[in-house]
Amino acid sequence: MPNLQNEWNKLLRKKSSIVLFCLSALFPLLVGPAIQMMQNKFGFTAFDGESFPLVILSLAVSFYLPLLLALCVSDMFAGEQEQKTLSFLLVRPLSRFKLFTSKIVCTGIYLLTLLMLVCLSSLITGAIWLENFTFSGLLISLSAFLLSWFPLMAIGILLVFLALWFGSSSKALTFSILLYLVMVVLTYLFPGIAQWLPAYDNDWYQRWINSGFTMVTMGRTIYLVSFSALFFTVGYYKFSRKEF
Amino acid sequence: MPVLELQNVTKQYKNGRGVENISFSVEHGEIFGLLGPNGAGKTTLMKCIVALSHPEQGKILINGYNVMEHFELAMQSVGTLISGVEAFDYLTAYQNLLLAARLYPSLEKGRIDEVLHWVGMEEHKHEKVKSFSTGMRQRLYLAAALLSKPSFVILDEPTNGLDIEGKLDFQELISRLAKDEGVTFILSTHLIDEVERLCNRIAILSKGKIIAEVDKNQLAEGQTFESFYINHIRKGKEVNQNAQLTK
Repeated sequence: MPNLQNEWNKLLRKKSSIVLFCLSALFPLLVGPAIQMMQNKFGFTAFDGESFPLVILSLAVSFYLPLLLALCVSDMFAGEQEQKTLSFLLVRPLSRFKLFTSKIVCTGIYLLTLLMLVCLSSLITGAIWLENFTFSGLLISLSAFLLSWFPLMAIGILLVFLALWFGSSSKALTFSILLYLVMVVLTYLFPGIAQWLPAYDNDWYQRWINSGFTMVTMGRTIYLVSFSALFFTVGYYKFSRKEF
Repeated sequence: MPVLELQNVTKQYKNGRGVENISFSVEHGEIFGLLGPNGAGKTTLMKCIVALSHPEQGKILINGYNVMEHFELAMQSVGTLISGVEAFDYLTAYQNLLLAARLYPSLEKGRIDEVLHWVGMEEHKHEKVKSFSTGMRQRLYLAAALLSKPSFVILDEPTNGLDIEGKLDFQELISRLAKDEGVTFILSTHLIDEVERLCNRIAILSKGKIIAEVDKNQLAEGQTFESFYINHIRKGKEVNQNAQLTK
């Protein structure tokens, strides 16, 4: 897919992407020493080297990473349409399906890169600043970060579908953030409805780590795959019908 | 087989603008001019040809391939400069052309520099597009259109924003490519002198319809594309006025 390289290069050439990569790497490095100072001052141990990456992950998957995903997706689709740059590639021998797929795959790689940056940074912080850093803890943390890619990607595909309805990146971003917040609130208020929303799987890694491969995790996996496939398909349909 | 063939293409927008029942073909080696006043539907038609817009009716064939069904095959040897299509302004001229070049796997390495030289932009190749004037952007888009060594080039208002020297350079380049390399062009414009210098056949588009089509050889003695165009546009206006009076 030659356009995947194009999409990735475009992403890396944006100043905002570099800033966000740096912020993602710096956040755990700054939080770690602060926690250690507080723990020393008050004489208790809330987080140790083993649990610290998972605490950071739970914060990241709840708000930080969905926000970054919304930023990336709204710029990649609505933003490029707004700036009329999407057509620059659409008038070349590249089908809309290939362009759409390469953008989604690029979003997936971007998400994985962010997760790995936060993972590495929180592991380093845990090892240097906090006690009880173990090799098994490292493996669990790494698996948890990798597992989190899947439900976040389902949210990413939903955000792509939403971004296609807007002609401006700021409108797409605002709507995506509001919708995500509504999904999070609904998850707490109405657990019955919540299971149909992708935000329900924010603690996906915990379910796998605590329960392993069960009927419930299997069912959720099938649900998320179907959810992603559905929104990929309707998203592509919308993209293929778009006029520029 | 014609390089480009339009069969009864219709595209109407909600505001009533668009094109209706357009049919024509462009043969190999021609420089075909699509001439019309502002708002006649030239860009709509160009966007339909490259599938940025979807016609409601009709067929568009490039080298025998239906653009809506076999887009990649149809566009393989086509270069485009469409009005309103922008380059990525946070990238340099070279990086923008590199994005396009990746979609043509058989392109040799030095091609980007070659087309930048043709349009006089090699000195600015490492400058970001956001610092470019309209004319410089237009030169870059022309470079992007010629990048893939196309056998057919679609140019929509290509000299918009170019200074006199830029226009003359552009006309020389088009003439040379058509003569030496047999490249076929379709050129949409409202600049009659451009058509006069470059084209060997024209179609006049007015209010979304083709009202006349003529080959340079078919023009009467002493007649130019300009006089042919003015006659038909005036005739069109008279017909409209008479129709309104009858109502």
